[in-house]
Amino acid sequence: MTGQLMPPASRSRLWQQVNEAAAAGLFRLQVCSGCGTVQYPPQEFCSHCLADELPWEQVSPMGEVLSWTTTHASTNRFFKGILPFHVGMIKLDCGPVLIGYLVAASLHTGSRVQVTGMPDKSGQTVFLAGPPGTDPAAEYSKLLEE
Amino acid sequence: MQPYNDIALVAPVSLPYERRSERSAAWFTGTAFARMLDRAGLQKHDIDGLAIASFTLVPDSVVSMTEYLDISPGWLEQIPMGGASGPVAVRRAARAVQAGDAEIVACIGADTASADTFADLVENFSRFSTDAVFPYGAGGPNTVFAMITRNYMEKYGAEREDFGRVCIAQRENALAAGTAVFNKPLSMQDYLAARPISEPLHLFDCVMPVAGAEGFLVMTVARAESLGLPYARILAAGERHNAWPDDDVHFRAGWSLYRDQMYEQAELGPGDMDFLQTYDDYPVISMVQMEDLGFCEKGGAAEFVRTRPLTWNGGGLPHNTCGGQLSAGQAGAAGGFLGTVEAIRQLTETALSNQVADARAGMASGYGMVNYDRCLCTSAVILGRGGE
Ligand SMILES: [Zn+2]
Repeated sequence: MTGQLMPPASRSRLWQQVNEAAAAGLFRLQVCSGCGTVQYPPQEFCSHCLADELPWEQVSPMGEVLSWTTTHASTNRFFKGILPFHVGMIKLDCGPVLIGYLVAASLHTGSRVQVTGMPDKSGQTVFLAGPPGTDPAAEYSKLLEE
Repeated sequence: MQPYNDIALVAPVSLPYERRSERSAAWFTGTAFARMLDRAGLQKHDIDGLAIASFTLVPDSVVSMTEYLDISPGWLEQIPMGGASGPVAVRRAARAVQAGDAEIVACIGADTASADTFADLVENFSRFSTDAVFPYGAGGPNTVFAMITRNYMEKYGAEREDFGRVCIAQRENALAAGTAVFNKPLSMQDYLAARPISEPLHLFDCVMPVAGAEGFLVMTVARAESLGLPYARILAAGERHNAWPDDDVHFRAGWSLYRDQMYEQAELGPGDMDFLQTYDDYPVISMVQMEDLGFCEKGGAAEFVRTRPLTWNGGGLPHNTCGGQLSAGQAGAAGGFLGTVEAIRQLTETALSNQVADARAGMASGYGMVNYDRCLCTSAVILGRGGE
């Protein structure tokens, strides 16, 4: 097979909202109209109060690293080409736990990070996290859309 | 909770695991079914209940299996709980037999493995995973459990050597049983020097996807005795799903919420267990089970495995006596049956050369289904030797 390898492009219908926010340079997640709970990953009703009005609103992109891993193996051919890379669990200040790529400077439990959504080579948004005020994209140029 | 009096678990069957197979999950299911009938001296029409757990049986289901097997059962169950499915099958089938909805239930976990099945399964495991985990390296559960493992190490002071002790003891058990995909001894040096997969996880912390099947029959004690079959009894059972949802990182699971009730129902304590079969997708999860099931205090599993032999004949706590998935490989949902089937073998004195001496009671637990950042399903059974 020829042609450029791509990261997985499959997402749920709701993910389009994440893509639109990232294209606008914004960090938007679903915020429940009923109780204010911030939802991530996206779903169609609030996991706390079960209301089904969850408008996408701008929330704080700041959070703290809960744990992290350095990946050295993948069954996917695209990811094999960018090994090794770092993935973290981030507790967002606005509530949910988000899994995202992590820059090397933030590989410490408790690190303060800022999360940014960017399109990967499949055109779908992935989240990257690094020290506040820095650009995490430089470390992940092989992953991201040019 | 009503007791599970007078229910017998018989005919434990494990098909030999294969690294890759061209055969379908239906073949593994049907072959395990035939082996169980053979073991019990029954005809297929004697079976009026069928419970199946499988990821790769799709697009077929337990319904399709009735036609493949040409049987007409009055009770069917499909258990979508992966690694928790074995003890859950015990619960479901036991209640059906107690209520008279079925007389004999065949419970089977079966999956095939080809070059593509594992990658496809991981990619489409859940919607949360498709959106928010798989795009971060397609590592499947390794990514999530690496982070769970690091958190556990930092929180409780566990070291890689502690996970190594679990893996090495299981490999010794596997060598005694003689059934594992990995059939060479594992030294601590080998364990520590293995290549990293998703740090802090290295090669021997991860299970190899394989094809296989596991199963057993559930019937009344009276029926088992009239058939002259050795059997195990259900002394207690429990399950709990999506427990502790507010824990940011997973370090405990549902077992902690029902273990006391189970010990009370069984009128036994952890010290009375002659073995423990945990669900070992990663050694840290076996250690979490040792804690949550009451074999040691929370956070104390590292110390526990440093001081307590885990081999089948080590005089400590025989743990995963056939080697578990870390030695045998992970045969999809059959992995959720492995511990239960081994527990029935041990209690019916039908284990291989890894038979625990005078095993009278033991526990098997299950754990499955990574929806986002942890597995949601937990289950456990306490079983006792039949006729006592
Ligand atoms: Zn709400």
